[in-house]
Amino acid sequence: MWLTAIVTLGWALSTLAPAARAEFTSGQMLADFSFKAADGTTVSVQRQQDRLLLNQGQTKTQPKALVVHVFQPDCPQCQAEMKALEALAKDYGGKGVTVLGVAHRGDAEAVKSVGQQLGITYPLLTGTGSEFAKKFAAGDALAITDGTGVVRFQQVGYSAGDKAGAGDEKVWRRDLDDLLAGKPMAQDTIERERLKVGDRIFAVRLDSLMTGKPMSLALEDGRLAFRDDAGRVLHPKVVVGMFSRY
Amino acid sequence: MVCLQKLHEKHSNDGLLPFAIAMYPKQERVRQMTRDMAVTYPVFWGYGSVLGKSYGFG
Repeated sequence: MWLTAIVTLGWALSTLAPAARAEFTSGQMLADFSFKAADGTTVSVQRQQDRLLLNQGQTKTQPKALVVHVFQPDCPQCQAEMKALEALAKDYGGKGVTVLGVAHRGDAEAVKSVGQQLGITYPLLTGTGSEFAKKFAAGDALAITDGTGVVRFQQVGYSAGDKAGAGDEKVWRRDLDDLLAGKPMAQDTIERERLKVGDRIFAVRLDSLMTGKPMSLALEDGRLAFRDDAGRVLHPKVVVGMFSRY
Repeated sequence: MVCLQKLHEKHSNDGLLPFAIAMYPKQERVRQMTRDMAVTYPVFWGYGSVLGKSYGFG
């Protein structure tokens, strides 16, 4: 996920221009899609008579809930999320919940390779280059739909949480339990920080990747100040920054 | 990162400062990649940071 922040206009006003929206929308219908799985079978999701129909090769099912994870094979955060989804798939597979991964970048070989490396047993599909995948070019995203195909939960990014397990997986499980029980789901999203046009830029106080010495970028007395790892101070007119997952 | 480096080379004298926050777990690998790409603008090490987590990175 790329995050671009530009600070200008009297040193204090920042704007943000995300490369693309990378998310599903709660309350909207999941778009139909059809992609090849790592084992060569074609997996498709479509709506038929107000029900979600999942075709896996010759097998047709109507899941009670569908979890769709749009990922990038070489992204460590996506891989951590895939491990959590594998556990989820095992625990909820017998309850009518299907988990699917759709790669928005990388070829079929990369998708197969990461699946083998992580021991993923739910279907991993290669959506690279498709219109569906292009919507998610900027990052990973996850949706939970009900059995009619309506997105009931969505999130962008992933947090494994702490050792107490207060991460995203806890929310997925609680929501799926509610959905399967026919109860209103507790959450339809996990809120993340996100810069919007007009927001002030966040302060960055972290070490330099290259030297390990502290650097900072912050507003000081109404001016943007960058302190480099040698202690020098710059007052840039414009900054352009990104989170980089390499 | 290549695009940011070009911006840095072209506009740093005009007051533009590109920066990146590295969010990949293997620090030495990222450092080497940054060297290989001849990146000279500041790169913060953000993996595992509260800032990164709050934006949904890990």
